Amino acid sequence: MKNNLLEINNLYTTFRTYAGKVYALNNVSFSIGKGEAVGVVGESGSGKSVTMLSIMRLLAENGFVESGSIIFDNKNLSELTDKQMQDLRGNEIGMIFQDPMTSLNPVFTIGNQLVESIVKHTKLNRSEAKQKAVELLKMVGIPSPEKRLKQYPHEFSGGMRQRVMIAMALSCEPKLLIADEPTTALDVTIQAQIIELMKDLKEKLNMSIILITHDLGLVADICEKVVVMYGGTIVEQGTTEDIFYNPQHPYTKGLLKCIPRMNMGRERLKPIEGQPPDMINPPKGCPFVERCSSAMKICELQKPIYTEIKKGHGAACWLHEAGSKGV
Amino acid sequence: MSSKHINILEVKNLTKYFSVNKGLFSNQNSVVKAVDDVSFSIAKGETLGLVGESGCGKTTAGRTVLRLHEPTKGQIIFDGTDITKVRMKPYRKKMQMIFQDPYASLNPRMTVGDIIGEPMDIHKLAKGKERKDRIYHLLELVGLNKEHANRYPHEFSGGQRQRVGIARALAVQPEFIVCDEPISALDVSIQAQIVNMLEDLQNSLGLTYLFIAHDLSMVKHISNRVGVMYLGKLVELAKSDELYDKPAHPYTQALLSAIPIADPKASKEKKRIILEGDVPSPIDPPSGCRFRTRCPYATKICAEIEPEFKEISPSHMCACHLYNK
Ligand SMILES: Nc1ncnc2c1ncn2[C@@H]1O[C@H](COP(=O)(O)OP(=O)(O)OP(=O)(O)O)[C@@H](O)[C@H]1O
Ligand SMILES: Nc1ncnc2c1ncn2[C@@H]1O[C@H](COP(=O)(O)OP(=O)(O)OP(=O)(O)O)[C@@H](O)[C@H]1O
Ligand code: SF4
Ligand SMILES: [Mg+2]
Ligand SMILES: [Mg+2]
Repeated sequence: MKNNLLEINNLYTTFRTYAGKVYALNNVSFSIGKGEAVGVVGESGSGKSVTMLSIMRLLAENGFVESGSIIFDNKNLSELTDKQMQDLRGNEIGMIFQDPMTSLNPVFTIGNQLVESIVKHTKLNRSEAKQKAVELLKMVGIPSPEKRLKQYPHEFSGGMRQRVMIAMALSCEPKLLIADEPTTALDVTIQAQIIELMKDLKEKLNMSIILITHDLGLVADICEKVVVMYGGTIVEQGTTEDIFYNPQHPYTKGLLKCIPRMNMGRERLKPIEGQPPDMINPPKGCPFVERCSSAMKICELQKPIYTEIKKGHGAACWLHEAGSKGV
Repeated sequence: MSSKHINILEVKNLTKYFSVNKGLFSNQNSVVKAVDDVSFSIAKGETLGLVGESGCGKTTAGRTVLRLHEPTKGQIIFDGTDITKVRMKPYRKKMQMIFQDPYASLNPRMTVGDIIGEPMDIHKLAKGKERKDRIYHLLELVGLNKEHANRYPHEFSGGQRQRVGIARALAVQPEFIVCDEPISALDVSIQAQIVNMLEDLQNSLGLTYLFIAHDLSMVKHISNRVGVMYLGKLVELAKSDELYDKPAHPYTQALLSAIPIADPKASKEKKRIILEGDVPSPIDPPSGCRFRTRCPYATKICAEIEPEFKEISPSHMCACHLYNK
């Protein structure tokens, strides 16, 4: 407990929509230590972004955290006022959003927005902040930063905008960086630059990172821990080695088999057949039941309980219940 | 030996420039050299992969081959016929495209059945019951079912929509398909489904693919040969295994070294070549070799003379002065 920077316990989040209530998160719990990087992977729509938005109190208006607790740096976030939350965001928690186009204001120059954000979150004055902005752009690999600061978001390519967002999130040297698909819009060569930068800051500032991504390669590269989500729940978590070399949940196993390895020939890929569940009518039992090749009767009827197989590595799957053998 | 029977497609010195207006108060036009003097061929039943950074001209190359853009220069030869200047209607049937974005490329107001049927109507291939049967058959071919024909695109997931796009491309029984990032927008678990399906269709229908992507491991998996583009130029082209085992061009080497590997141990041991600087603008590309501004090996000659795209070992093409002896 002592060394955990962030602890999330039994989080439930829903959305009200005309089509019905969306059960986006069902009992999500995980924690992250100081200086630790956690990768969050999982199907599209599994609740990765919603988990982070719930933590930051940035859910859309129709979204509600129904229950659960979020403890950050020994503070219970649900007890903070909106103003205190706002100070926390951008000061102690930096966030890189999934969509860089919507998170920059089109009518202000890049320099203006960066300097504004630095002044707001640090003790620097405007001219120092400007200096800092130049350094930050350089750091994320944008050439001739002095010139670039005078330009508007639309004059930047998607990848460059994303790098500006990264520079902004890092400008306050946060304790925790939440990065939602930070490199999807980038080329592998630019991605490699950004990843080196994130690793570097993690070392130097003892910054913790939550990295949401579809790219298991990135996770293998920077994360010590992995959280696997499916259908609004955490189906497995463990160290990166646990997850890659000793996956327990059928979804995790399936996911790892889907990706072609560089050293493999043209043999057939092994996809997970079927489609993810509808979160308005989530399955009564295990969310993966319809696509799982090991599914048993009980999987349809009852939700499997998250059980550890060793300290820090566990899965929510009936196969791991002693009584399930031969059902 | 007539090349007609081996190569279904031959592209010679293909060039596509776009003119863009410099600004509101300027009557000076500048050109984007999106694809510049690119040559390659694809054999019948083969898959040629095309990779490279965002904006390097992959989509433009694919579209120009199909004459969805008119080439600025160069020649496109399809099944032995020069189609650079001909009326395309008869060839549209044989050459199809699967588009990059499964969300934007389907008409939201049409049922899936009509989306698939439309190309048949345009080419007057089938009517009435025959048309309907073919639509059902195509839906099954791509792993959907009859019931899906009366639904609208928004009722489908990304993976299912991509299948609809593929069924539409197959509706006219093409011989050659440009697959423009057909899986990039999809979940990892769905990507494998689509790739397997494309491979099955290739085997059963004898299709030829130009497969554009930036996921290098998937490209390696599906392609017989792979071409690497940089800033409008083809810089390397080789058999997939050869390209991945023995990349020759410094850009290809950097690109391959930068791929994250989904294996924690291997990933920690891997040495990355970190390229400095940004991708230069295709409006004003560097002189000589276009990669020289980011190339760790660049010398004086690289700024002066453009390296020739030539064979450096059997069927391994590369454009780099390091191989000019
Ligand atoms: N504002 C909203 N209104 C209604 N439903 C929502 C809203 N935002 C998210 N959801 C739903 O919540 C669920 C989880 O969404 P979330 O964005 O967390 O997925 P994700 O795991 O981040 O997926 P991706 O990989 O595609 O980004 C989905 O079913 C989504 O449709
Ligand atoms: N219709 C157009 N008019 C002007 N410029 C264009 C047009 N289409 C493409 N371009 C430019 O041509 C270049 C190549 O674009 P293209 O879409 O072919 O790249 P790409 O390799 O497919 O990239 P991505 O991986 O992002 O899809 C880019 O600089 C782009 O801005
Ligand atoms: S609980 Fe059952 S359905 Fe769910 S993953 Fe485990 S075996 Fe499969
Ligand atoms: Mg998301
Ligand atoms: Mg493209």
